[in-house]
Amino acid sequence: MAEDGADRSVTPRRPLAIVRRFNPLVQVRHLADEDWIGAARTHPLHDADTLRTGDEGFAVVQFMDNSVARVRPNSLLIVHGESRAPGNTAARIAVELGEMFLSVQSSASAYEVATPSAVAAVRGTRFSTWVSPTGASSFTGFSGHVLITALASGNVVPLVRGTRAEVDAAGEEIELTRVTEDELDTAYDEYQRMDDELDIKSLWLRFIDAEGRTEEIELEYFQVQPDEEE
Amino acid sequence: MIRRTLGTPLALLSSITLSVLAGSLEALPLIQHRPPPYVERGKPVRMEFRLGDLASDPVREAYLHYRYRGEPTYHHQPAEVLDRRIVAEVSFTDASATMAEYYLTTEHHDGRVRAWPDPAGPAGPAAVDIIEPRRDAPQAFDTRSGRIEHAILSPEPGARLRPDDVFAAVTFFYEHAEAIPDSFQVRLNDRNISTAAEINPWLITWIPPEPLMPGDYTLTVDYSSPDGHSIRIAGWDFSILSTISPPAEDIPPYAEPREGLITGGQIQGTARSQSSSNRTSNLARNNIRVSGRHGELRYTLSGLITTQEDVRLQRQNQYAAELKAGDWLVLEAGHIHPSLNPFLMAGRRVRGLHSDIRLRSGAMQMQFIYGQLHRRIKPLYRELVHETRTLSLDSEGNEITENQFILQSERQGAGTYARNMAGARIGYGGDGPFGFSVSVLRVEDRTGSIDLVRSFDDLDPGLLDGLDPAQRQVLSANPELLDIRTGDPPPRGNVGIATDFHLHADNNRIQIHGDFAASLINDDISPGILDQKRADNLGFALDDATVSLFDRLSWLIVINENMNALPLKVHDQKAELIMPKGVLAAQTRINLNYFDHNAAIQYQWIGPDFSTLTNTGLRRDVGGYSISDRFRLWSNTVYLTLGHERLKDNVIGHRDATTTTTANRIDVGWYPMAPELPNVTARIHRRTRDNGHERTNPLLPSELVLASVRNVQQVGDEFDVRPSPRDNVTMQYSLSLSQPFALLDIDHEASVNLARISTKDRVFLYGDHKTHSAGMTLSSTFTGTPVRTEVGFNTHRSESSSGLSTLSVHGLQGGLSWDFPEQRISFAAELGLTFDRSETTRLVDRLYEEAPGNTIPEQFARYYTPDTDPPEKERTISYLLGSDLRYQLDPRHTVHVSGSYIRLADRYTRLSLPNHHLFQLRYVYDF
Repeated sequence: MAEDGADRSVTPRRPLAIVRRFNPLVQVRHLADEDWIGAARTHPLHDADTLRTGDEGFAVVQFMDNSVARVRPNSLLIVHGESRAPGNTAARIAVELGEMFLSVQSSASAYEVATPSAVAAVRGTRFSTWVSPTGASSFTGFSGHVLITALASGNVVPLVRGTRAEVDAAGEEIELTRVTEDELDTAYDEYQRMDDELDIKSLWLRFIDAEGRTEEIELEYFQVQPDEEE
Repeated sequence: MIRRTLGTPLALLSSITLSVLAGSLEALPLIQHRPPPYVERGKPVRMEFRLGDLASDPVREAYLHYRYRGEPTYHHQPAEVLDRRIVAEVSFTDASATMAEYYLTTEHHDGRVRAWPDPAGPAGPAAVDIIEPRRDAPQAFDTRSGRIEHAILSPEPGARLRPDDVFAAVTFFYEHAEAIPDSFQVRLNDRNISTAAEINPWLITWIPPEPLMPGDYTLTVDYSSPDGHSIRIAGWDFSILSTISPPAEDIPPYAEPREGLITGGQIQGTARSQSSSNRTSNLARNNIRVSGRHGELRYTLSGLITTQEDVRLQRQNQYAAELKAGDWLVLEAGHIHPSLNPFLMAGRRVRGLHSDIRLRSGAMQMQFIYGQLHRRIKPLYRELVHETRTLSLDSEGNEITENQFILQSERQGAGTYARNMAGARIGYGGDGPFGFSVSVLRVEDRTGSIDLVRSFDDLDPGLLDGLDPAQRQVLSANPELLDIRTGDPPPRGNVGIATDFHLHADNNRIQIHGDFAASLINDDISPGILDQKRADNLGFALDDATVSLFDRLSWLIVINENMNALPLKVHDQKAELIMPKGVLAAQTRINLNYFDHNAAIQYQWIGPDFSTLTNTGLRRDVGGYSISDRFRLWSNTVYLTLGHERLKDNVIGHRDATTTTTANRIDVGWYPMAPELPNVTARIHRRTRDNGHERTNPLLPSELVLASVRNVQQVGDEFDVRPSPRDNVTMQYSLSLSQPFALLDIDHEASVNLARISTKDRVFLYGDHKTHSAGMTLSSTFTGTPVRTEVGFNTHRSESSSGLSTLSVHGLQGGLSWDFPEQRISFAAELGLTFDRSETTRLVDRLYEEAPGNTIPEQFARYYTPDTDPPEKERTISYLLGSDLRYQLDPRHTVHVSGSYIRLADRYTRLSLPNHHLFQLRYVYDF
């Protein structure tokens, strides 16, 4: 057990990613386990591990090629793949539910993002994925070039900056629409703000008893910034 | 890689090996290139060709030509000419291709263009397997040296962080968990923090138990080897800011590329002096490249100024500007290399403008090109020379003579018309399941750009200065006596149209692609369109409607009697408009990708008259099919390809004989992930060529028939010549292995290449030839010292003319490079030696004396036989010495100094450089 108290007793396998940041409502389930455990900073994720976020949960997952996935609340994803050389990761991220923003850093790496209805083949690009409870999915391009394939029909559309591909739950139809720069900026800002909120803050409380003995304890907490309209 | 720094050419040896693989004895350029065992689809690969100092003739321009196996034409990509290397970075992106074929062309100062390997040679161009993208195999953990591949995940080296935002993470890459976690020590500013770290064989993480104080920190990871030595694996710095400092840096969440008017660039200056046979030539080149970015807008400017610029040549000074906006717009100006449909244009250099617009997320594409392929070069003429030619003797024995007034060009005085081109492509579908496009191209020489002498009326009076008044009078009275021997090419025109489509289905497992094209070329547009008067002179009538049509089409192409295929059919002395079949071209390909198989079926048909002025490398007059299947075995480590191809020429039946080429091949590649196993490539190709004609000659005895000069047939009492027979079979075997291994604390990579090509000619006694070659190279990287070495040996033997000529070449090469990173100096030197031995018996033709002499042409009864003179024997020794020195003044300024000395007298390459030396200085400034 590490000094931060987190239980990271995992089988010594080559990890695929680590949890770089999180808020408390993030859990991880390893392939061989049935139980969910609370995520911790530097928590390794291996092939076929699952990560989920709660109502307020948010996680930043860093892959071994420094690609980063930002996972929004109420999401569930399974990571597959391996990292066999620096800057060279092959991963398939199955987004079963919720929303994720993926920023792939290395063009030598190969990422696939799979949803129940579509699959996106990714190299060196940034885009977000959203999966509805019904299985319909939506992909929004922020940079680079991604090919989105509807699983049932095999229809393929290219996703570039400022476009959104929406795939129906049956995986048959893909609709490609435009996304304005304002919408993209807003989405950026939202991810950025949630990212900033993941900093763990410390609060030190000093207790002094009647005899003058002093003891300090540390409380860690996450600061959530109120929305502007609140 | 040692190849990067050992730039001095030991090209002779390797060019021999690879030229033998190419099967060509005509391989003039001294070029060394080791084809990679495989390339990954979509992954950029750097093709490097090392030059053999290129005699006294430096390379002005170089192009890499590549195509996917089965494609009828090559894509052209400019290559970068460096010190003594030519480098081209190329990505083979075709989703269904299984093999790429390529060759290099170099254009020299004297205008010569050399191709290597010869794509039309018996073995064709170089070839490389395209395999699916694979992940690099992790290196083994060398527990003695502590060498291990790793990646720092956090904090980023040099990062400035908030006190509460620090954690360390390092990951390692190796095949098995050889390392024991207790062998790692993690230190923060030399303080051992290992007990607080989470250490497993692949990942080390550490979270500070309490916030770090502001200041600078160094994290290190050491490994204790089994023999007790501590070895530093990783070490990096970061800083902690005070809590009141500005926001700390972390991995930028959405790091945008650097922005600014100028975000990067390079300036290079090169000066070279070389001397050969007491002839010295100097040159200087200056390159600049600048790039910048603002939001979605990106630009690049580049320029080249060289002392090789010459008004008698096409432009050597070059400039280009490129502007990109997101993924939807590319604008280029200057010297550019645009492509349209590959049948029409595939990377040809143009001086002009090019725009590529993609709308609706790439589904709509529009391309426009306008520019100049050639600039005009004025012709230079010598003064007219008068000669008197004796025609015969009259009845009294007096000579009957004729005056001739000869016009010749000065040396390198040939003229060139300015050649303009315009092209466009409009497409729909992009990368989607269905796509379609139409391309059009128009090229025409500007007839008024230069003044060629085509008749007496065009003569400048100054050209008559060499004639006396009487001679001038004779010429003026008889202008037909002007004999123009300038060789100036006439002005030409070309129009082409092409369409292509693709259809992808079943998640891209089924791919259908097709190209259809037509192209008309006029080899001399100067007379203008064909009119009724000229048609009369040619012996047929042209109606008014046809002439009117020609007139209306003249803005597109001038149609006249100089067309490569006249769109007219003459019947009863009347001309009818037709579509000449020979100007058409088509190819269709179906790829099926199922169950680890890549199967391809292709049909192509290219007429003998299909040609464009922007794509001259197309094989014409060919039609047929090819079938291949490449399948993967053993977790994609073995690639087995079976192929069958059957092609015929004479596709429109315009010749007497049709040659059928049938090729079968088996290619096997073993590319294991484990580094302790070798990469192996083996190929067996069998090709037959047969035109269905036998060699016959009833005038010769049976033992001499297969040596007959002419193929003669007797019909009744008459003898006539039949088409030359063709019936041969070529077998080609090649094997290459490369294997990295460690020995004596040194990392080695050994590669072995073996090749054999033999051709058996069944219809010509002296048509057999064979080549054998073998080569071995050992590259070594020393541990603990920055030294790398390379040694190699090559041997080659060829027999041509059924053994009458033999050539043996044996070569040795060695190289050494030494890097001093702290002093920012690297040094490399190379030495090469070759020993040639050749023996040549000439083939002469003789008359068969017993053949009837008076009734048949003498050539009918001639046969080839070895010369009775003793064979010519020759032995030569050549050597090459070269060195490079690179000194990095600071991270932005670098100086390269290169020198070499060559003594070469080589029959194989037919080059003679008795005393050739070169010195080059290059300065590079990066910003």
